[in-house]
Amino acid sequence: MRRLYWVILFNTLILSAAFAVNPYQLRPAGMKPVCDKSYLEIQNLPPLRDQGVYGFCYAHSTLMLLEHLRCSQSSYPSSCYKNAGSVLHLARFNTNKGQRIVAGGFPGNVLEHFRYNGRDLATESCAPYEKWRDLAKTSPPSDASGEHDYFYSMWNKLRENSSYDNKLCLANELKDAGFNQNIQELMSVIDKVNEISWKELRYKILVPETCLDQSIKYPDYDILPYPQRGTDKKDFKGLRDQIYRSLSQGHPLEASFCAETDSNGNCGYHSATIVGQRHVCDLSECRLQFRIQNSYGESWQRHNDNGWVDGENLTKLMADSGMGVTTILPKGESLNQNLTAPFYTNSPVGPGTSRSQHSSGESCWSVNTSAIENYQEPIPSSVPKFDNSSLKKPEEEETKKTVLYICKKDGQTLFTDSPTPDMDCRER
Amino acid sequence: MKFFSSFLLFILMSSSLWGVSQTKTLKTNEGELPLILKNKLWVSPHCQKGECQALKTPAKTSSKTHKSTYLTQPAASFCESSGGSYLTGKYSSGNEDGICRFKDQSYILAWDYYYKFKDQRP
Repeated sequence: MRRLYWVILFNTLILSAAFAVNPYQLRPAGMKPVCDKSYLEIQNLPPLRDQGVYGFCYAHSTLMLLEHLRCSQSSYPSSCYKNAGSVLHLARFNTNKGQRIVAGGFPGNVLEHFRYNGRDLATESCAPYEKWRDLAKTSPPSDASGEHDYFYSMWNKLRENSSYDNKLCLANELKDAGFNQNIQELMSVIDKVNEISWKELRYKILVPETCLDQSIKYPDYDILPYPQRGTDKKDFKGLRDQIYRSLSQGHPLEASFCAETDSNGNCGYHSATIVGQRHVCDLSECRLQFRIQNSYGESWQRHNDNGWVDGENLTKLMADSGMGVTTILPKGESLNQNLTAPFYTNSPVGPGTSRSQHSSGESCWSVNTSAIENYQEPIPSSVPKFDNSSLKKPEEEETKKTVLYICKKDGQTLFTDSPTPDMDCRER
Repeated sequence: MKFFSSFLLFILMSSSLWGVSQTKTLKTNEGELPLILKNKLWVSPHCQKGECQALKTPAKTSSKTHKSTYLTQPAASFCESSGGSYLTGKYSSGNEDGICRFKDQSYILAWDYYYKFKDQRP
């Protein structure tokens, strides 16, 4: 019986490992992007941020949408981005109850409450994210009990001893920790310790009221979540279409998904921003890719093909976990519902397909883009089929005929018309 | 032909020299931290010459772990659970990045450290 238990447990582990979906799957070796109309990449993006060991992905991705809305249409986006809004202040809008910041939240809530409360945000330079790290670093992320949190211990000390000297001592301690407020401002917050919770105390010190005097006003917007509440959660095609529509109109999307599953099957949720989409193909097949702008710093992007990850895996993780995408549009603008995402079921790339260079500098297959416009009919699996009938067949090529070889070198598959002796090749 | 070969040699030599001396700076609230490229890893300058902790395989994990239903940044968590301390900063481009710093004050870009050692740590 015990043996049976171990066999079942082992098989379950093997199966769960086999079916674990990697949200950041990179393109297979040998696959190249296709330069067609479905290659969309949003330009003039805000700089990359790093959330560190704290669960503020939701605030970073939301801020990215808001900053893009505010600055992308300005004459000088890069200088507009220099005066960014505060992530910590934005995190406060995760809830409408009281003024507090917590690690872990929902981008949809933040966007809704931020709009409802007037769309004013303190600047990052006035309420910097690093102050959370500086004072909560003994126990990241600060948990619900507050144990080990600097502000929790400060709040307790003040409630035990509310003498003027003790208050002044703690105000000086904060000043030494690099807070911009003067002693009087800090004392005015500390004086309220008997009226507010420790989380409110933390918020009032990290985001001082004086910061709101020089806040940034964000333009008004409409929020478009997909899927809508109460609709089919596993709508893969709907998700793909929504992403394509939003990117086509130049709007990035926030994406929430199950990024990691522990041995008990519990999900670790993450939120990032989708800023591009394309297809990568070899001669036999294609994969959809999304470009992610993550809150993991610049070198994460460098290690992950500049953020280009497998779009099908990511869509699956969004749909399976009941999550999805959220985009914001300038007030009054709507998405073109007639647009559907092109999706290759057969590779449009053949022997003799020429290469060009995308505006991003990436080398890509040059494909006849009118094929996308011709496509309308869905194939039986309800996945749109890319119509490549208008593409020239190899024998029709006007260019010089070449023999293409499929070669293996150092474990990688390559396509070339001029194989070298160190390659193991066969003619295609 | 001779001119062309000399030109090619010059390009090759200068590009290899350029590769060795590639540097960048991360501005943190503890000052500007220079980084040099060594064997495809961005590390503190003193890792260029001798041994440094930033380039050693982590021997054991620290008790510092972060368990919650929301995710922290994996490289930052890996750094802290390997005995390092995580510090973020900005490049001149405005992009942020994080380094993992060790007791001997050597440091390495946290994602370089993560991808180099995550499968090697016991």
